This record gives sequence, structure tokens and C-alpha cells, in this order.
Amino acid sequence: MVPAKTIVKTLFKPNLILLWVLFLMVFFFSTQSAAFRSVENLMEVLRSCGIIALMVLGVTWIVASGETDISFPEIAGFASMMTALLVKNGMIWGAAAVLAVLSGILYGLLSGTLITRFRFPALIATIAVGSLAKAVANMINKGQPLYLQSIDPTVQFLVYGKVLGVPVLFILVVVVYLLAAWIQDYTTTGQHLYALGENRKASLEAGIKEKKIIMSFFALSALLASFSGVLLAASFSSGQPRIGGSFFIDGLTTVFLGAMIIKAGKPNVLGTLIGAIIISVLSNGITLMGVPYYIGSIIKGLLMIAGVAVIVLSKRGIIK
Amino acid sequence: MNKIKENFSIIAFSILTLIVLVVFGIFSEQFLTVGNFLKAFKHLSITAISALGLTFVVSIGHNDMSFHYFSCFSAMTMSWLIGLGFAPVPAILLGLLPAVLFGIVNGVAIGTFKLPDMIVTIGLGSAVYGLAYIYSGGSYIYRNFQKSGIMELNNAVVLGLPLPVIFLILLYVGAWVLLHRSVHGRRFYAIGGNKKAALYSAVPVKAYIIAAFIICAVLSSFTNMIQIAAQGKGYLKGGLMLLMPSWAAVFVGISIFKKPTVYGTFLGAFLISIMQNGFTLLAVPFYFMDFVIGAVLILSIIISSLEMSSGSKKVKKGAQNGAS
Repeated sequence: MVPAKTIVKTLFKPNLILLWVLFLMVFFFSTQSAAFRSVENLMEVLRSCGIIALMVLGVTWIVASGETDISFPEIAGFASMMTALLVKNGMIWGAAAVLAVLSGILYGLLSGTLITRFRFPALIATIAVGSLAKAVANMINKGQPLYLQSIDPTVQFLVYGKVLGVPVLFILVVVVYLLAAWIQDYTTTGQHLYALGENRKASLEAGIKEKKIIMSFFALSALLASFSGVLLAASFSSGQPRIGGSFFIDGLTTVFLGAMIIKAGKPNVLGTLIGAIIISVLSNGITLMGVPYYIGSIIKGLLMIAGVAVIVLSKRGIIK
Repeated sequence: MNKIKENFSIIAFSILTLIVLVVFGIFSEQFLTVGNFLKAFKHLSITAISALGLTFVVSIGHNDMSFHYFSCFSAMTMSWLIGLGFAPVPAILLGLLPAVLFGIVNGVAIGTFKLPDMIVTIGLGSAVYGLAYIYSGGSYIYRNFQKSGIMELNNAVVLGLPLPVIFLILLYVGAWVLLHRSVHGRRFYAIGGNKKAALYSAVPVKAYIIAAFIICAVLSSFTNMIQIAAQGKGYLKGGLMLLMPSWAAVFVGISIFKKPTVYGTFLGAFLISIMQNGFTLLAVPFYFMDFVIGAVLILSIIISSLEMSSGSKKVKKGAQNGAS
């Protein structure tokens, strides 16, 4: 029998504080707005976190292994334009999506090559690749969005459909994340990724194939970003070349907030999923309460700084 | 022969710049004229000044992903003050105050409390960007812009040079003296090289980190004010486009000279800007400019690493990755 005091102590450990923040946020919005606490809206919250959760799964591992990726929003924008272009020219949705994702992966391979082969900091390599992706996305239709007449019913179902009241998109996200969590915690790749983040030189000496792993992470990140770009094209019924900008802050916030949950300071997939839900709850709740949306961006920023302060200071034993 | 090897990047970069100038000179009659160069330098001054601030942060080995958000807030503060009827100079100075404040917050969080720089700057940047909406809810501020004289910040001509170009020259000379001809510059590099060693050499590390973030925030805010003055209205999102070109300029500079330098940043900004100017003259649409940034960056990365693989020098990585 574990003493009650220990359980209470475990529940209030610094690495679970953001879960409490999420809980309090849901509680607060529920008391303030009847529209928020309806089951339908709560399901909508889960659905709307889906696209960003898929987009930043790869980024989570990249950051955990000590690199950075800021090209993902632009790659998503590129994939949404690519899908729209192909569908507009008469291709079926499935083939268009596959082609868009494959061409999106090329950007990931390019970043990976620049980082592993040419040894440049990931931040700058992804800035370069992000600029290219953004430019190509704009070139597709002279900087204008590309509107579509119809969305394939299967894709429509993937984005908006529900099974037993639960959004299909969220089910997909949970399946992907559980698989990723398994890879992260129960395979050697997962061990290697944290080893790389901890000490690059030691990992190399231990025989970890750094280049291969980093390369595959960037390819994976680009794959997931392009896939979420395809979903974006479906949910807006159009390709949007400048959609990327709006996911830049939210995406990185998701990863960094997630890093503070569970593994206290290290990005991890379950943390990222919770981070995505926090962001989704926040923007939904704020909209329903009629508060200007920029308040959300202020809260997110402060939450991030407060969260990282708690984690870092508690690791140094300043806060207990 | 060894000399050539040692200066491979510098030579390759000079040849590249020369090719760019010649090619644009052939294709566009206007390109190689004094008038166009003044225009190009005016355009250059916007990103170059912002990149100059970033050079200081990179020289101490940190990242800053927040300066462009700060510049939005400062420029909106200035526009708001102009709208209230303030004269241009006090409005600019008061507008720079919040930038100083945010720079201090960044510096204290990263230098004193040793929080990871990527997370702090993105978090604070996001919060400040949200805060910038309070002035107008995101809409333009036009009031008093025409009659207050703020637009002179961009339009005025002093000694035959546009005012932004004068600022560009003064700030770069000042920064060059500070970073390359004074003890402070040695200390910035010392901190970037090894923080602990710097601390034990009696360098006030925390103060210098705060100073670097203040310089970065203030310079990018100032350059965004010039941009706002050029547009003739307070525009919230104007500063957002500073991020990519500033980073690109600093890193092209690093790949030429193997460390963040004032002249390297200038040459990086110059190459990107002159290419954008040339393409504009050739009537290439605006969205092509991101492509120029990406291509120049990748090219300079490759040139610099070709030199490394020939094995003469080692790149000093300016930026470490954040979230450790």
C-alpha cells in the first residue's frame, strides 16, 4: 500500500504540472461557457488538434535528438498547394496525396543532407529549405490560393468524419502517436535518439549511426508535415501557399510545451500530443468566450516560459 | 597556393558576387546605375540593420527567434504614439523602450537563469506579438502619419544619401568598432567560445548576454520603424519578414569568415539584397525572393564545407541547438 502522501506528491511533480494546467483550463472554460462543455464541442477540440499534432510529430524527435526543424510549416503549405494543383488537373485524390507527400519528403532529404553531409547547424539548413518550400508553394499559382470544386468523400471522412461520435482524425492521431510512443520507448531507435540528444560525441563513439538516424528523422518530419498539408488542402477545399506562417509558433509551442510533460525537459511524443490538446483547448475556449484571439498567443507564450522555468529550476533543485 | 586554400570561401564569394553583378548588368540596363544602387542600398538597410543585431546574439553562441516579434511591438508602439500626436523623434525613442525591456527579459532568462534560448525566445516572442495587437486590434494605424513627419525617417536625403543608408553606415561602423576593435568584442567572442572560461577570465558573462539581446531587439525594432515609415502606415505584420533574411545574412557571413562578424553579415545581406534587387528589375514576382534567400544560403553552406573538406580550417559553429 503506497501512502497517500506519496501519491499526492507524485501527482504534483513538476513534470505533470502542465496536465494540471490543461485540467484547470478545461474546468475554467466549462464553467464560463455552456457551448464549450457540450460533447460536440469537446470532440471538435480533439479534431482540431489533429492536424497540428500530425505536423509536429517528427519535429518532436528532431528536437529531442538535439537538432531543430523550422521548415515544417512551409513544407505543409507546399504539400497543400501541390495536392490542389494535381487534383485540379484531374488526378484522383489518393494519387495526388501520395505524390504531394513524396515531393514533400524531398525537402526533408535536402535538409538532412545539408545537416549530415555539409555539417551545418540544423536551424540554418531548415531556414534555407523552408524558404525554398515557401517560394515553390507560391510559384505554383503565382502566390494565390488554388480553390477546389470538390473533395473526395474518403478524404472528407478522414478530416470531418466521426466513428461512434469520435472524430476519425483524432483516432488516426492516437494510433499514430501510440505507434510512435512504442518506437520511442521500446526500440533501440528510441534509445539512440535520446542518446544523440544527450551527448553527440559519446553516441558516435558508441557506434550509433548518427547520420542515418538524423536523415530519417528529417525525412519523417517532412513526410508528416506534407501529409498534414494534404489534410489542410482538404479541410480548406483549397491549396494555401501562405498557410505555413500560422503554424510556425503553434507547432513549436506544441513541441516545447510537450517537452515539459512526462519526460521533464525532453521532447516526447505523448507530451507533444498533450501539448497539441492544450493549444486546441485554449484557442477553442478563448473563441467561445468572445475574448480577442491574440490573448491566446500571449497566454501560450507565458505558459511556455513559465513551464520551462519550472522544469529547469526544479532540475537544479531551486524549486521542490 | 596555401593562401588560396585558406581564403577559399572569401575568393569564391567574391567571384559569386562579381558574377551576380555582371549577369544582372547584362540583362538589365538600369542595374548598374547610381540611382539603382542607392535604391538597392536603401532596401538593403532594412535587413542589414536587423541582421547586425542578430550578429551579436550569434557571436555569444545563442539563438534569437523573437527579435522580429519585438520589432512588431515596437513599431506599433511608435505608430500609436504618432497617432496620439507625438513628434517623430520622441515617438521613436519611446517605441524603442519596450524593445530594451524585452531584450533584458530575454537576457536575464537565458543568461542569468540559464533557460534554453529557443524556448524562451519563441515563448516571449509569441506573447509580445499577441500584445502588439492591443494598439489597434490588428488594423492599420494611419492617423497623423502624413503630417507628423515620421515618413522622413525613410524619405529624407542627407548629403546626397537616403537617411536609412546613413543609419546603415553609422550603425555598421559603430558595431565594427565595438565587435572588432574593442575589448568588448573580444569578450563577446570569448563568451561564444566558452562561457565558463570567459567567466573565470573575469568577463561579466551575464551582463554581456543581456547586452547582446538588447542590441538585437533594439536594432530590429529600429529597422522595422524605418520600414513602417516607408509604408506610411502602422502595420502589425510588417516585422515578421525580418526573421529569415536576417538569419540568412548572418549565416552567409559565418560561412565566408568562419565566425559571426560585422563585415560578414554586411556582405551576406548585400549579396541577398542585390540579387533581390536585380530580380525585381527583371520583373520577377515577389514570391521568388524567398527562393533567392534559400538558394544563396545553401550555396554558401556548400562553398564553406568544400573548403572544410579540403581540410584547412574548422568551422566555428555560431549557433548551438537550443532545446538541451
